Amino acid sequence: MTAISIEHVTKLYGGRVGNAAAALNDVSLAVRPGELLALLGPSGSGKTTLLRAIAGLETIESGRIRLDGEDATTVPARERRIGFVFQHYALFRHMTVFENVAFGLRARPRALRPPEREIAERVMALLEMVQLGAFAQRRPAALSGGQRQRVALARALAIEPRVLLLDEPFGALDAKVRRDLRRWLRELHERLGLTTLFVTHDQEEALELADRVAILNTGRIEQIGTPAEVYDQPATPFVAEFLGDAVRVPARPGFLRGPATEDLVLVRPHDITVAEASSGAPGVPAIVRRAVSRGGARLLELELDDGTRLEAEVARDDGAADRLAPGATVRVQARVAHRFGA
Amino acid sequence: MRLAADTRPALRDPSGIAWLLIAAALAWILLLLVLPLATVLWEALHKGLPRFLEAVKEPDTLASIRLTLLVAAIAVPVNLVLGVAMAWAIAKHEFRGRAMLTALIDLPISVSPVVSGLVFVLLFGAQGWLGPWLQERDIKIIFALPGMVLATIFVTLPYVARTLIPIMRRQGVDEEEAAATLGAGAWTTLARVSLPNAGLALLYGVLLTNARAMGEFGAVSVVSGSIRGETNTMPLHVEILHNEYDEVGAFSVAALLALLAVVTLVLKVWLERRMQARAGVGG
Repeated sequence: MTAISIEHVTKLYGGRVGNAAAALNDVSLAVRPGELLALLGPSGSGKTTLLRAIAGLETIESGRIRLDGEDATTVPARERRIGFVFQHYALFRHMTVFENVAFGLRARPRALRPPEREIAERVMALLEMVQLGAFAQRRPAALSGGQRQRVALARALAIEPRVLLLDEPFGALDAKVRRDLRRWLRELHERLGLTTLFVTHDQEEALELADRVAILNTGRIEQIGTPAEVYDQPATPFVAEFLGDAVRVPARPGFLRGPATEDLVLVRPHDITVAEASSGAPGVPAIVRRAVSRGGARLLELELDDGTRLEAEVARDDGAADRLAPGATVRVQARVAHRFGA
Repeated sequence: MRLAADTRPALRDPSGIAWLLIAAALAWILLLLVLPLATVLWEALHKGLPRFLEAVKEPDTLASIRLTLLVAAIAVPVNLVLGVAMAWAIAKHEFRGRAMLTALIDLPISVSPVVSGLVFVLLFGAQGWLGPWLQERDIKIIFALPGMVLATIFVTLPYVARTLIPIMRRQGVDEEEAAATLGAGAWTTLARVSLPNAGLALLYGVLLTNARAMGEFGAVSVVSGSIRGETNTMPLHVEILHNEYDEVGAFSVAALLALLAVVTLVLKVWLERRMQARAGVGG
């Protein structure tokens, strides 16, 4: 059983068949009930288009979208019962916070509409949940970005959606609010257990928040997996380079452990061991050209004996600054390498 | 003094050219706008208020006022609905022929009102295309109320749509999409999201439509036949009285129309202020 099932979905820009640019190119994805899944990719990768297609805000040229097993491909957005939080919130500007959250309940056909007293109770309960009970009578313009975001979330939850979709939920917020809201959203998700998809271009956010991450690039899904899987075992060079730093290194025995036959090898700077030349450690000789401290790490720019330059990141312990100063000769080896064939 | 204080530094001109331009503009406005308006009021009232009231209470004049109000009372709501529909279609939707529709909306503004009136005569008149068919059924359109209403609707068609389209475009479709995901149908979305957002612009469009509907001369003149007490609207009545050398009568009715213009203008300024204030608050 899957909550959302995307099957071979293709969407062309402007809906023109034959135009080479595809916004979504044969995308398939199964979202499990209750999971928090991140759609991660650079801008133009199709992640927002995919999210909007699931909500019924974009039409697709081919493929199927199933919600709880039912085919929803041609079901209009208003009948999909999907909670959608827009990147810029899209709050109804002329309504109060209360009216915004009540909108979905009041828009129901008469037979399904709860009585006004019950609507009021539910709206207030939701506003309490997003910690905005005191702001019920304010208008969106009088709220901060983080508050608007939470109103948008309460409004989406009011319709008791079967899944929750968030488009760049933290995109427009400053760093501090972003971190707080991220943690809060994670807690909320654990409490509600609602299947949630969110779009982001921020790899750190995706890896920290999501149960699983789907990485998109030019309209295709490159890899789906848990944060540890996609980070430690990237399926493609794109994934390796997009998720954190990765440097292209020559396939050289000695520098890599084991045989080196692949065309492309990527190594993360923190996976490179840098040892003093006198230590007799395995690896190849190199010279430190530049050394910079960043937080708890020390970034080294190294030049291998064949002239290749690469960046390494080592823990900043007490002696490191002296031993790994510019000009020092060292031996370097990659502990972990991501190898890709032609 | 205000000029120096409110104008951006780069645009402040010590040579006085700005003052010269402002003086010229003010003189021009005085000559072309204020002076005629003052003349109308003077001519209407200079023989005393009783003469003015007497002229207004004249049966044919009262009939023209009633007719003008009736025509506006039909034309304005019709164009309100049509204008909202057109603006919504053009501003919030993509469809084939949208550019064409946008251009067509302006047609009543660009075409001479007399030509518009003639088109209706050509269509519905006794010698017109539909004339015989209408005569058989004893339906009178030309030289009767329906023709005047039609001509007025045609002439005032663009105003509601024209004022709504820019603001609806600028607001985008985010809120409409949000309404859709929350389960709202097209009517609910229009009534509770799109229109309230357009709010004051809609009122403004109605105001313009009304002013134009009451003041329209050319198109209505062609289709009305100017039958005194029957198919004579206020602008047409002004002309008749003027041609009959009843200056006080003509200027009394003209003064009423001018008053309408002034009220419209005041409301317009007030609405614009409100709209700016609201735009300033909205994020």
